[in-house]
Amino acid sequence: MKIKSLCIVLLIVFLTACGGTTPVRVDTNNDSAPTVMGLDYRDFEEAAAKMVQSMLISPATAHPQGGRYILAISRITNDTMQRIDTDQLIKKIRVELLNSGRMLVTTAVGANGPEDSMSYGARELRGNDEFNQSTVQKKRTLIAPDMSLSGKIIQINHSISSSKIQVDYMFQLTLTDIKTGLAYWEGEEIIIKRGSGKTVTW
Amino acid sequence: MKNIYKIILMLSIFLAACSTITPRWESNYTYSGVRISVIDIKEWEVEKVGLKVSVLAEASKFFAPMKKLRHRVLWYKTDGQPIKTTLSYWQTLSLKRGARQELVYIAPSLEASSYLIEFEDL
Repeated sequence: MKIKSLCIVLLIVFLTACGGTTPVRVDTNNDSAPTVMGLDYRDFEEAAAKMVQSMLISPATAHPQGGRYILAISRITNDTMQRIDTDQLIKKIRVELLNSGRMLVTTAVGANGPEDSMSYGARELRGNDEFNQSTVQKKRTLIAPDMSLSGKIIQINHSISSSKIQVDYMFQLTLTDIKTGLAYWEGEEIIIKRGSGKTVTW
Repeated sequence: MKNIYKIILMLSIFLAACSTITPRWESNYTYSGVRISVIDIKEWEVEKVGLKVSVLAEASKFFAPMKKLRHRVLWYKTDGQPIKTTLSYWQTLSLKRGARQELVYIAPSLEASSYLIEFEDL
């Protein structure tokens, strides 16, 4: 009888211990967790903020007549060993540029075709009797971009010792004036991490 | 006669205390620690760019050889509404004993008219 009771108690203790992995929501404004060797959201946030700060300081991003430039997002190359969606960086920059009142991003033109194909899809309704034609977009209403944003994220691994590695991440962006093909603004942010060589960075 | 000296001394102390001018930027930052002191805050209204702020901080000459802190800037509109921006992220700062560092912040838009810089010990 005693053994049975002991087993039940042990089982309860075991199950309680297993239940300790409750998910925790992270306060992204005060996240003091140690960094990882790969790129995490804090790295993208820092890189984006520094890039935006540099863009906003530059007079090249302010329209001389006080209006807004139209920006197209060109190719952002992921040259790291990790699977990264480059929008993690670019979206933050886009939001800040939009809120700054300096630029508007076109989703009708992009390096790999339009980001939002609906600008063209909705125009295919021209001549469709099912639609009130006065509500269908007219020709020559899309606005062409003035500037293009392109860039690259680079990763370089260095071996410091048999057990330690250094990983350099470089975020490079270029803002090109489409009319002249000249780069009006360029920025580079470097994030360096050192840690155990056993850590996988891909 | 002794009382007159006493009164003059008290008056001098009172006037000396009154003459301590608090810089007008004193309310533009918060820091409760002792690792750094803010020497100066300058601000410029740059045409078509907006508000640009520069902070000169100096690490204490005492205690640890390296002071680790974090800092950020919060931006507000004219009516006091906070502006949500990536530019308000926490940045880490490491200063050697007695070293000075200039920190530059740029407003996220022309709407930003005031700011608050926060320092915290790590």
